[in-house]
Amino acid sequence: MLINVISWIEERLPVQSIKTFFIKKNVPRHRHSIWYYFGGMTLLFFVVQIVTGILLTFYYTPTPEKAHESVMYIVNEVPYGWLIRSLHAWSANLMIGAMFIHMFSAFLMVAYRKPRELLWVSGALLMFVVLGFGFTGYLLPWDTMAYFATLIGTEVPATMPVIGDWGVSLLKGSEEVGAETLTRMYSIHTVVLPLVSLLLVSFHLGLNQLYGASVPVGTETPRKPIPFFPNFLYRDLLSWTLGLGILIALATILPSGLGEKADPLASAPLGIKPEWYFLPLYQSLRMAPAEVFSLSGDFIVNLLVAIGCSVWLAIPFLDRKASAGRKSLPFMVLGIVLILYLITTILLAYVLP
Amino acid sequence: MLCLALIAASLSMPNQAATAQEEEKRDTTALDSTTAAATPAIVEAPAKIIDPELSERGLILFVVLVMLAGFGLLVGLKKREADQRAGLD
Amino acid sequence: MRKENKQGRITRRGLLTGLLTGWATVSAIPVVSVLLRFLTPTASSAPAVESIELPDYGDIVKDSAKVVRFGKQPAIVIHTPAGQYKAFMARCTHLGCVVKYEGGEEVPRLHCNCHGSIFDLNGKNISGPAPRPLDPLRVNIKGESLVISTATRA
Repeated sequence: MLINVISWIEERLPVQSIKTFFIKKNVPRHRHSIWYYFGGMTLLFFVVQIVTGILLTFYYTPTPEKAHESVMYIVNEVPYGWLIRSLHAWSANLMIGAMFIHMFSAFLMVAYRKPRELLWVSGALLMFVVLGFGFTGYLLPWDTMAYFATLIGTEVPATMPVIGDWGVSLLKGSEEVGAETLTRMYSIHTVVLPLVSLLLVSFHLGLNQLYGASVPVGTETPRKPIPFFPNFLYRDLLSWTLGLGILIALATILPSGLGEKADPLASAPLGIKPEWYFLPLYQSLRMAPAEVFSLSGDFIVNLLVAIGCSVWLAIPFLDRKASAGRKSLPFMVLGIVLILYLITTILLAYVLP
Repeated sequence: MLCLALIAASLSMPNQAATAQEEEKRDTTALDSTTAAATPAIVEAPAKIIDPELSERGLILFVVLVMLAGFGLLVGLKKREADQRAGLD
Repeated sequence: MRKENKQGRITRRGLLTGLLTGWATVSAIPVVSVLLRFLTPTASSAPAVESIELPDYGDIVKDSAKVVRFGKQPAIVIHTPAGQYKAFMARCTHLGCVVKYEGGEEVPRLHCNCHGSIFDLNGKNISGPAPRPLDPLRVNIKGESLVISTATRA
């Protein structure tokens, strides 16, 4: 019976050739192999986000009147609601962390060189999508922190000339952060970004299967490569087991809290900070002088960030040496300086009052 | 067996936070049965979230870690066996 | 995959595969049970409504009806052409649409717009797909209000 079903499927789906493909696919082994696990780790937390996110939408209500209450209902009344919510919040942070490690390791290993330019571009786009997830999801509990962080966040484009005000109104959906903003954020968070990210993730993973993992420039690979199936998959499974262990420990030991319901008329409380992954932007805006050559400091920071993001996306096309299979010093320096800048600004934002 | 016992325990464990919550709700409903019944439960939630019981959190963490440890151990053995077969050093 | 070698002995590989599959399956049980518990709606802890008071029942003119909230469900209060007050749970016993009072020229009746079931003013199903009469409610006048209560309570 089972044999019949399997052979029926095999006649209609190219199962065998897919299996052969994965058996033939190899993962190189060298002293930097450890970094290969962080892409899979990001994927694991992404899947956790999809599952827990769908579960949360069953109870969450995206209106200013009900949002905070519905989150409270999830946490207080729904069986294991607090667990699902904590998993979603912690997995978001772990996903972003794993993604940054994956991205910077790919950068430093010059994995974006030919023929993997599009892998880099899709990955960089996914970084923006993931940060968008973080920003839009942060408002949804509608507590004081979420409200003011979104208020500030949606004002960021205001300093851009011409399109600034339009950009702010596009994000807010009205003049104030209110019901329209909440439904916008909810729609982006649960419909737009999931669809976009599914497309990008499929593309990213498809290309990765096609080209396999990149061997860093100048790295010797004297050892026999690891067959992807089943040998590397077992290694991935082990790393996922570890990742899930860390996730469940964080979610149960430090379950997510919830502040007071947002009051648009209350004055902003002390110490509003965005999530850690937005701290470099936050700290840069704080450190910027009010005016430089009669241009506002905020404008300059935003301009630099916009230029930086464009350069980051276009890295494979700017680094000419990479396509020739050589490491280029300026780009290595750029990467390391960027990592140091991000870490320093995050630490500064925590340390400074 | 251990796992099954833990599942049973986790399923039968009363949610103490929710029980306290229900009692509070009954107090308010006793005053005005028509309005309380007409309003959906969500509106009656208290102003603060109740932290889940430490015992519940501990139990969940313990069960999941046992599951993961067993899974990790078996995958590790499978990996070693597969590596030997593939001739990986 | 063969779990036994040619001598009929269980191989290490087969044993490990079996153990791993078994462990994964058993581990899935608590995960699925948590998911099901999360998704199952919690029973409302509010006690079921047994009676409501309508102070403004005078607004219901003769030969008309009003649908009111009875707990979480709709109830229909009828002021019959003969001057009586009657009340029923307003959900059609077929598929749960709210029934509508039809009076005036015709014989007064309750009609369900969804699939055309018709009930008389005693709640009895007289035509259409409705399988049983409407659930009746008890009506009493207490002071200024009309008290509607579940029929089972004295």
